[in-house]
Amino acid sequence: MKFLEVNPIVLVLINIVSPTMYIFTKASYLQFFLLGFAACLLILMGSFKRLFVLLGIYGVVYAIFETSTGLGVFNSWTSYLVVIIEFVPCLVLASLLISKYSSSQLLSALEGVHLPRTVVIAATITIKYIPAFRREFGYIKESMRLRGIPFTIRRPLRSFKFFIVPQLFRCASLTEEVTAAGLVKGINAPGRRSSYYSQRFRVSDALVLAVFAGGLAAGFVI
Amino acid sequence: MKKMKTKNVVMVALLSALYLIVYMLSGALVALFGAFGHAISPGLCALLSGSIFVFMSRKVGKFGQFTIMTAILMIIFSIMGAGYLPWIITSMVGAIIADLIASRGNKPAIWKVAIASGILHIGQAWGSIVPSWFFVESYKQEWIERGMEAADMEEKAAATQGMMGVLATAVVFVLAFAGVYLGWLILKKHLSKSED
Repeated sequence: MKFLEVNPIVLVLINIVSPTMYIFTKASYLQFFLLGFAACLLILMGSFKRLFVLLGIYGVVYAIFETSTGLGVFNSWTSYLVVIIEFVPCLVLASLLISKYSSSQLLSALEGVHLPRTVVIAATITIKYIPAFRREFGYIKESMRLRGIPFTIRRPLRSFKFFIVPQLFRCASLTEEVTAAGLVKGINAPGRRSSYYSQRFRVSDALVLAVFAGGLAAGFVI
Repeated sequence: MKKMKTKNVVMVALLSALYLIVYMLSGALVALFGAFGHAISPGLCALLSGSIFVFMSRKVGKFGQFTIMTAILMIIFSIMGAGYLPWIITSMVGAIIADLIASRGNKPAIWKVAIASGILHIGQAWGSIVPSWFFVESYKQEWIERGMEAADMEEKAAATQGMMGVLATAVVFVLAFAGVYLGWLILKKHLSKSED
């Protein structure tokens, strides 16, 4: 059941502000506030599966951290656990952005904040093609295996070359295809682009931001 | 200075996707080297992604290429919750300087691309080095309260402070410079073939 629709820009804003606030407020307060805030947002948006993932990861990492410090172990590795604890709520909200909103919705929302159009379009293309390049790495590895070319640490330059060169030239060929598809869809048309998924800023968005700001402000007092 | 066309923006976006993969890969590798490793992580990324910079300077070669690439990175990291205001500011400043150095003419000399990559990655590294110069006391206090030994914390903070910060900056620049020459070594033959 979904009680709340949130403009993607609100989630982006929360994710931009949250990590920076670790400089100014007490981290032990902020990490629990962000956990509670993200959990409430997930419940209101009806994303219960993500809520369990958030609580599960948080619980396990926190338990390992507490056990380690209880045993007197505190080194670089345990400090990485704290970094995970601090950023899991943000990462879960980011995954919400990728899974709950289509690229057209994201594009529409990002255009609403008057970011340069070139940058918005470029960022959308990048997000879309990261999984494609990861797949291509798999194909290259398979192709190297079939030709009997090992990926070996003993010849790192040669192995690295076999990985990077095909990817770079694939970029060049993909550029032609993506540009042609974009031009057909009016990517360079002058004037304001309208969208089927118009993302307006609602009262509920303002309320979510007000609660978030209130929570951050409390961090300065506590 | 030539203006970016749609095709150029698309290529920068695709190369940024590739750069992001290298960035995440180097981020995972550098976790093995502790606090100083974290401070020089942009350098390791630069060493592995030098070929991307060489390819971009030869195939796009327009003013704004490095700035758009960095802006894309910052947007994506911010969406993921890893955006950090001082890091965004220093990275964007580094990228603009890199564009001024190596994106004003067609096919800039490789040494210019190498310097541009060095400056761009120093900008990224300074995102963690500069705040540690100004907020180090509250940072140390916080970790000691969480259970870290004061001596361990001093060691961790020392990795980015004072001369160590300067050393980290130098290491990042050298790695980035070497990365571009490594990329040029890998791509020289392929690029001359594709231009023929």
